[in-house]
Amino acid sequence: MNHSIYLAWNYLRYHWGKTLLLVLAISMVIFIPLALNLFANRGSERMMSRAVATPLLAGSKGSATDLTLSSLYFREAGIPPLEFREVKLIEQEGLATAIPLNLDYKVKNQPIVGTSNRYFDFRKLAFHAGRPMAVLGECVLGATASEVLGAGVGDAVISSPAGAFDVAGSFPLKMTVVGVLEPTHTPDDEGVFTDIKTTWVISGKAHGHDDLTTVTSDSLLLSRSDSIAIASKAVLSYTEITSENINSFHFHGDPDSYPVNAIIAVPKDKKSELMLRGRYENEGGASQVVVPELVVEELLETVVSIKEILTLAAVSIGLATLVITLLVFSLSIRLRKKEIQTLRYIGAAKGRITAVLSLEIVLVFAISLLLTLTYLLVINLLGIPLLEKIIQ
Amino acid sequence: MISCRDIRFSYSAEFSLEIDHLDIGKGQRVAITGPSGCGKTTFIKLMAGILRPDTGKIFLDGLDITSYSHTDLQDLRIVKTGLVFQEFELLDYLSVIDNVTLPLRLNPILKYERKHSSRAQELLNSVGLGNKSKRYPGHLSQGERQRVAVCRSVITSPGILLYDEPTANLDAKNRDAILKIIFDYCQTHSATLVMVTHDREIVSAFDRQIDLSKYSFTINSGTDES
Repeated sequence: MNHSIYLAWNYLRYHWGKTLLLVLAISMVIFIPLALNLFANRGSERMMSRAVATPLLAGSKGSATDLTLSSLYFREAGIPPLEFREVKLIEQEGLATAIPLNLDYKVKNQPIVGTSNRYFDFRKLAFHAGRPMAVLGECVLGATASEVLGAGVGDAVISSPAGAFDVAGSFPLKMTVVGVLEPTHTPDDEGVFTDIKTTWVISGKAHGHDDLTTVTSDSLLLSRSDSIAIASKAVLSYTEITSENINSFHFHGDPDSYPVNAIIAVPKDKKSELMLRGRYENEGGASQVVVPELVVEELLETVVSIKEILTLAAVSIGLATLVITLLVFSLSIRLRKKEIQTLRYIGAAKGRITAVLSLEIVLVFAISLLLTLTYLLVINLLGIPLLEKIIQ
Repeated sequence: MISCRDIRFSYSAEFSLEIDHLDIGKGQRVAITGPSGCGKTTFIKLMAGILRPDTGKIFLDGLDITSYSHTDLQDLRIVKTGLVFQEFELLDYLSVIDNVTLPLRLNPILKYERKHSSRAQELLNSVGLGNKSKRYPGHLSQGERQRVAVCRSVITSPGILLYDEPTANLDAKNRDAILKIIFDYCQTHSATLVMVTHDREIVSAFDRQIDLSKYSFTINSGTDES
């Protein structure tokens, strides 16, 4: 057997070009469906784990998938917001803890997550440095956001305008970084977390400006009476919330009507969950409650179908490659007729010759499998983190 | 000792080889001559057991090889005979020394051991190829490749050498060198040599010449146009 392997190995080594081509082709054919499965499984696992960790999501009626993906992955939802009173209602019912999410704004490309400090406890996010938000205008950065924005505790980040023509609101707001989170390899790494009220300041629903009661310059006032002072455009609106001007910040209108993109509802128990879901279903209003696990499960079923089609295609290509490989070997045997004859003349039994030729095929497949394992190891080290980044 | 008795062999209706009685004594050096197509290569293959005669018997050292099974014949061939063909038929993917030791690796009855590698190296040294043992046949000249083929044929120390025109494509210098190696081996091992050759210049160096045309018949089967 050793001599057969020795002869087979020498043949493959001498004809390294042909061997290399075969090995590359076979290994890729084995690798592609495996990698596809690996990626799909890892992707599914990552998506499911975040969905499972989020018991219920409330939002405006519309696409449950959009609501879930935007809330879990901080993406623009494209669905109308709820009113903040919905958060209060859930809390007042005592069925669940409500964590609001406002996701309309960004700092450069990093999503601003307007929420409450409960979010950190809910997601079990640990602080690498600093502390949670305490007052208006403070923010906490996810690990990646901190790295990308080059900001740490004590630095400031500025919200980006929502659009170039948004002259009515969404003024850039300078926020002070008071904390940086430990990396979690989840979408939380990307977020710029701030209190939901701060996002209302960004939207222009709350603001701070010069105190008109003490203004003496006529250029800042259009008119003044005993009870009303009408400001001109020259009155300075603050773009940074500081300890000096924080008291000047105020809300116009009813804060309960202010927007919330979604609400994470953490029911106290199973019964509370069912009651909460029941209420939303029975009300038939403009809002809905979804179970992210079910939404993602449905989404993944589509992904699995695509994966199965791709796997089938890959397996078909694999079988074709296998046939071609065997054809290459059989043609090669024809070309090696004289060599085989020589082997027989100098004493090789038919079995030995068959063993040598078979071992050549076995070795090619063994090397291909080793190469495939190497590919898988490499994508496990490099590709999976990349995949996780994509999923984030 | 090789003996042929009442051998009849035909490829088709057009060619037939008939040898009623032929003995080649031990240690004898015999040149097989004759025109192209008279069956010289066939004769060598019959002696080696590669081809079986239609009828008759062939004895190698008293053993009737025509009664042997295919497997037994292979074992017998590897132990008793050394073969060299007109075309060198070295394996291009094995080094020179691995080509020489190849018969030992192919058949389980000859166990390949480290000493065989030393023996192969000695043989290569003796034919002036000691420093090329790690090279591949593709890097050797024709004469060198034929010398390697001769070394391969004697690595098992056979008592009978069956050579089919081993010097056909060589120049005079290489031809004489190869012949010297073969004759030296025959002398030191008392080996029998049966060698097909067209070369009239070297026939005189052999103990005996057999003109095979006397034993073979070719029937012209051309279309009769008369």
